This record gives sequence, structure tokens and C-alpha cells, in this order.
Amino acid sequence: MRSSDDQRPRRTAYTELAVFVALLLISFFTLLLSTQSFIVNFKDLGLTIFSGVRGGIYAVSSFTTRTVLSIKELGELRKEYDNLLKRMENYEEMERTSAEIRQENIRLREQLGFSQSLSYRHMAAQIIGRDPNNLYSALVINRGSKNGIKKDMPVIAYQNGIQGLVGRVIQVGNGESLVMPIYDSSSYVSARLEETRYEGILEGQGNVDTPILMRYIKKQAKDEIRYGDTIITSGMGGIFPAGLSVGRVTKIVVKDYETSIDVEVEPVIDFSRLEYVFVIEKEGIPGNE
Amino acid sequence: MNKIVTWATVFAFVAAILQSTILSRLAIYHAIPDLTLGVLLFTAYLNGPMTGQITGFSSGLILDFLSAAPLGFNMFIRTFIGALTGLLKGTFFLDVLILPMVLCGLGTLVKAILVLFLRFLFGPVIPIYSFFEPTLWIEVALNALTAPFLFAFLKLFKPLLLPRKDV
Repeated sequence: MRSSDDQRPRRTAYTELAVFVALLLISFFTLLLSTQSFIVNFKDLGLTIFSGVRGGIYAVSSFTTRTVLSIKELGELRKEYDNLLKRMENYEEMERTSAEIRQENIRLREQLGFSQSLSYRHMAAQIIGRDPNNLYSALVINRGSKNGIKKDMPVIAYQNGIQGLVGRVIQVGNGESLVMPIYDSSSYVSARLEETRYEGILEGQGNVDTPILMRYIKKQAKDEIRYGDTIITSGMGGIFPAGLSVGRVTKIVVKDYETSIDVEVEPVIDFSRLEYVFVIEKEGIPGNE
Repeated sequence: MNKIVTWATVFAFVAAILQSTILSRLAIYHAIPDLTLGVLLFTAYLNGPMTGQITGFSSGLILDFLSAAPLGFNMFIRTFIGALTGLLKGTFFLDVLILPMVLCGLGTLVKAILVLFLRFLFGPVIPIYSFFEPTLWIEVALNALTAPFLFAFLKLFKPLLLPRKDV
């Protein structure tokens, strides 16, 4: 006769299996619903609740980086000359801070100059993090719903005198938002060639180093497109305003059996050096008012 | 078990924040170590399948909130990995070097396979790892290399992450 001790592990195994199946089903149906956007956006709520810590961590890590070298050098001087070291400590810290402020000032003046020339209503934002998941490439900016950010707002940037498209807002928390960059595999942008005016769809390839593909360009364009031609947004679809620079043609892909051609595009924005962006308010886009 | 799951979820949350902020600046070929996976594997291996799957569910939920992934994506994957790893409880002695590396390396590959499975069910809305590109293998290597240090760090918190009789 089987003892109760023998039955206990079996009951435990059944319980574990039942919980496992329940959790998987919950996850599965949550995923099913979230990809179809049936339900209230719990993600925005969760982002608000949990992402407040991220801004704090960023601030702490930036402060630590700025002061760690100065503390080390100042400590060595302090051993030899106490009084002089105190003065040296103050002067050196001020100099480093001053140098950083000068550099930041130059960068911010450049962004301000661009901001003042921008015809759209916009909000400046700083990139404070990236997607923690290696499969996704979202950028985290330090602006959220309390600043007026809304989902699907276009995001642009200004680098080396060029204004370029960065992506669009996909998720909004209270103080932070997620931006899908144009190279993300889920990114689709209506675009056209600036010179020849042929239209197509820009599709990200999931990787910042992999060129973006512009697809469904009419085949008759292959004789007119040149390497280095500029790609701009077409304004179709109502998300991105027309005329924003996206990239330049680096390769033309022609397949004999297809009725359209593809073009590889190198973005004008260097995402590895991207620090500041501008979120455009949709109501400020001509035609969206 | 509630205490263990709660603390493991807290550690996973901290790891996710670190991945998003500091580690994202140190990416190698766009790959960063998945510390949240390491926390889950440690907790699941030492506590069994029930704790593993619930910790996977909660840590996956947090990761879904902080990421552009659709809600349910990481919940599903990490629940499965947590349950699978928990079934291995007690199989091998958890040494300092080899088993952590093997667990985290294989865990990353299982994650990639589960992503493929979800892609099969949900279509292009789910991005996949390419087994022919270096990003996945760099992530496997990074997870394996950071595993000994992560597990050693988590062992310092054994009273929080293990049942009282096992501490």
C-alpha cells in the first residue's frame, strides 16, 4: 500500500505542473492580446511605475563618472600639502567641471540653434538608456506624458548641421518614453527619393550597422537613382512630416523577377553618437492641425 | 517561497535597470549580458521549478514593462526557462565556475529557441536571433563569462534567495 510520503512528491509535481501551465497560458494570452492591442495599455502604466528608478541610476552614474578621477588625484595631493591641496582641489575640480560645461555648452548651443530654427512645435529630450533586451533596439528618453509626449510622435535629431529622422515614440510613461529608431526591424517609414521623387517604404533591419532597406520603388527608377541620393520622408501615413532627411543611397538592388527595386540606405544620423533628440508635436505639423 | 520570489524579482529588476543604463554603453556588437536571465537561472536552479517559474513570470513581466517587447513576450520565455532550470535542482553541485557558465550559456540558447517558437506562432511582430550572425553568440559568451561573478555575488544573499534549511 502506497504511503502518504510517496504521494506527497506526486502531488507536488502535479501542483508545479498546474502552476507552470497556468503561468504560461497567462503569458501567452497576454502576448496575444498585447500584439493585437485589444486591452488597456498596462505597459505604459508599468513603464511609469518601474522606470522612475532608471532616471535616478543614470544621474548617479553620470555624477560618479565625472568625479571619480578628480577624487583620486585630489587625494594624492592632499597627503603632501594640506592647505595648498585644498585650493588645488577646488581649482582642478572647477577646471574639469568648467571644461565639461564648455563642451556641453557648445553641444547645447548647437542644438538650441537648431531648435530655434525648427518650424514644428517640439520638445527637446535626452537619451538616457536603451532597451535592456538584446532583440529590441528602443531608445529611452527623459520625457513622458507629463511633458506632453504622446504615442506615435515623430522624433528627429540634429547632427553636424543636418536634421535627420530618428524614429517615433512607441510607449509613454509619466516621465520617460520609449522611441523606436528607424533601424528597428518593426520600423516602417513612408519615404521618397528627394531628387527623382519616387516613393517607397523604409524598413529597418534590426541592427544599427545594417543599412535600412527602401522597398517597393518602381522598377523604372533604377536608371535615375544615383549613389548618394538623399531619401526624405514622404508624409504619407500621417505619422512623419514630409521632407525630413532619413539617409542616403548606398546600394541599388535590382531583381529581374520583381516589379520593384530595393535600395540600401545609410541613415544621416549617427545613432552611436546620439545624445539629444527633438520630439515633434503632431499638431504642429502642417496638415495635421 | 514568497520571500525568495520577491527578492529574486527585486534583483532581476535591478539587473534590468543596469542593462538599460550602464551596460548598454558597453555593448559588444550590440549585445549586452542578460543579467536578469542569470538571476533567474541562479534562483531556479537552487529552489526548484515552482520558484523558478514564478520568478521567471515576475521578472519577465518587469522586463516587458521596461522594454519595447510586447507584454507577455519575456513573461512566456522566462516562465519556461525558470521551470526547466528548476527541474535540474540538485542534479549537479553548483561550483564556482563551470556550472554557472554552462547554465547561463545554455539558458541563452534556450531563450533563442523559444523566441523562434514565438515567431512561428505570432509572425514578424516577434524579432528573432539569427544563428548565423555574431550577436547571439556574443550574448552567449557574455552571459557565460559574467555568470561566475553574478552567481558569486548572488551567493552573498543566500538568506534571501534560498529556503532557510538550505542556507
